[in-house]
Amino acid sequence: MIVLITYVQTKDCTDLNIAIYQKIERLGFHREINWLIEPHYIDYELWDESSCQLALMLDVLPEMYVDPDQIDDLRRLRKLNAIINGDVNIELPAHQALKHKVYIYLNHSNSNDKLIVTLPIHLRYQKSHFGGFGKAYLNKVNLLVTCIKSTYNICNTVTTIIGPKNLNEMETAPWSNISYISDFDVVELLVPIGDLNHYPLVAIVTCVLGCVGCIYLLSIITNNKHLNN
Amino acid sequence: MKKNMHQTLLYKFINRNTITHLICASIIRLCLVLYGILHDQSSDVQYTDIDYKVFTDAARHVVENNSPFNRKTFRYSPLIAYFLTPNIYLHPAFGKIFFCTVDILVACLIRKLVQHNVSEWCQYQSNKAGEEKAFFWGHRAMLLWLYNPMTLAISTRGNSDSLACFLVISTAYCLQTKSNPFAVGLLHGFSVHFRLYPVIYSLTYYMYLSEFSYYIKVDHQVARTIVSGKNLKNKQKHLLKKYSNQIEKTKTSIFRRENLWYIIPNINQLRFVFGSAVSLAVLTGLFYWLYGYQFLYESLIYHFMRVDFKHNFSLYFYLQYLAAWIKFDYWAITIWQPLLMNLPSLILMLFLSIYFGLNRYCLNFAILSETVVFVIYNKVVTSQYFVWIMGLLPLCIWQIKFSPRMVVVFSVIWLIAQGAWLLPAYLLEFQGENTYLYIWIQSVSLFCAHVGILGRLVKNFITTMHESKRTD
Repeated sequence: MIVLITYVQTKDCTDLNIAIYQKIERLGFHREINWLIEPHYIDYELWDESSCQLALMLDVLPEMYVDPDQIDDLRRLRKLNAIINGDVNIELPAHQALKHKVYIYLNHSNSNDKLIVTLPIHLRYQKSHFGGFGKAYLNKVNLLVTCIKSTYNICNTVTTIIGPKNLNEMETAPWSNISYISDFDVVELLVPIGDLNHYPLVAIVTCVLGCVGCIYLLSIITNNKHLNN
Repeated sequence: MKKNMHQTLLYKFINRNTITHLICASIIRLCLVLYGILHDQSSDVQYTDIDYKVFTDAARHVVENNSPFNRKTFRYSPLIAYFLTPNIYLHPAFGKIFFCTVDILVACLIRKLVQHNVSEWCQYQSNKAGEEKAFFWGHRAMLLWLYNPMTLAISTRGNSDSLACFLVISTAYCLQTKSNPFAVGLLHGFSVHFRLYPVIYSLTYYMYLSEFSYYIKVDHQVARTIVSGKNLKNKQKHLLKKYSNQIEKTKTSIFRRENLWYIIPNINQLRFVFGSAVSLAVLTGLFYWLYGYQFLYESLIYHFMRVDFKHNFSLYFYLQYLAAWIKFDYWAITIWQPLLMNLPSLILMLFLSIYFGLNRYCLNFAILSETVVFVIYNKVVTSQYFVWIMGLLPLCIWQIKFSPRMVVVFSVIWLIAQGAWLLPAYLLEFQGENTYLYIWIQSVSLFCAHVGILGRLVKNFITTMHESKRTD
């Protein structure tokens, strides 16, 4: 993966001028988030000297999850350098699940190509209500940067967080959460939910059918001429 | 002309010897394993079953001297993780080759068991062509397992269910070849430890070992007379004369008081129960000692407490989803609903275990029909569960009088019912449309199709009273 960075050196800090565009693809419970990461200016020399590392960090709310097995596969196929920070139980419904974080590491490069990052996410089942759709909120992704050389001071730092330094989750590093140019905010995704108005019909038919099936099979067995003659 | 030529070629292929088929089936499996490796390297949609990854990760934990249960969603016997440790230090595809080898062993076992059953049946009927028939049906049963697309896919994708089938069929084989009941019990306990579902066969095996289990209906009358304390030998002829009248009586009731006598154990039944208890207790104790409560919870307790509200083939999925986490009427949710959901399958299993378990020619059919009932009445049904049925179906083909046309009709009904379920499920899962009600309607259709097919299987099941009129 390649990232293009623009440096606008000022007196006190280095300004990374990055634009990120987001598009959600696919429908239903299995979605794909595509981020297009685009620089506005580039100064290769400065960036090469910097030894800085960029990453995306997504706060995944309980209504959805990133599948750890899928991330492992994507890592194995060298399609995504990502790790999940937090406990992910893929079997739990939204109201019982916990949130987690995903860190996607963007390779240090001096190429000036645009970068596209794709992250598969899955929506969780939600409590049944009166039909229609439940809501799942996809947070805005955070752009993080960390530099080995402390002489580089990054502009537009919103906060500093401690996160995994690389794919080895044991090592941590301070990351600057920096602002970027974007045309999106928190996204609302819709999840189909069960309709409680169906409950009386479903309960009666299901239970009766189970019993009728049982009686039918018992009658077949006991009246089978091959068995009884 | 061309059709005849194809038929001749097909028959020529079918009639090749066992070794040729075993080699051919092994080569197909090997090719699929290799295809899986290549496919997985280049595609996001993996050929390999997700469970295989779980097994491999669990095996990695074992190699690193950790608990296999450190791998989330590993809910199997730790033995699977042990068996697959060569995945870590030899090759990741080792497990698939291992499962495929077990597949081939299952085929051999099916052939042996069917041959045993048919020759025993022919011997009982004083049929001189017994050996020939035994070979014929043994061979056909083996081919049904070897070339079944579902079994081919299951093992080569790395699913362990062929191993479970192997253990179940081994138990049935040992039981029917008059092995030591204690050894049969050990095997059964091992089988239950490995995969919980064979526990449903316990009562059937127990009844099979009863003093009152019989070979044909006349024997059944004899057994019942013994139970009721009458002197059979003097009355046997009289009994045979009265036989047809008595049949009418047996039709009217399902459960009889004298059946309770069958429950009182004899020495063989005690040996069987003891053997099962010993192997189950030893394996459970050993792994509890090694991995603690986590082992108990993940491999045993979880399976009893599991409530899956995600859409699946089960008749009960939508009801479970609607009722989950919602406070309805206490009595309806906590008493009536679970009772009505569990009682039909319990009654059927109990009845099938006693009714077919007592007939010595029906053991295979008993465990087949119990498996079908268990699967179609289960709270969670996935495609994987149908493999359990596929493993037992070949054992009974010689006893089920289906014409090729009927086989095609029922296969088509089953496939249509599955396909009709898959459409709304696809719209829900991949298009985000609210199709829960339609999925439930298709689950109802699928359940009806399954019940109908099981009913037909029972109706066309030739038990022991009459020689089959079917021509080989």
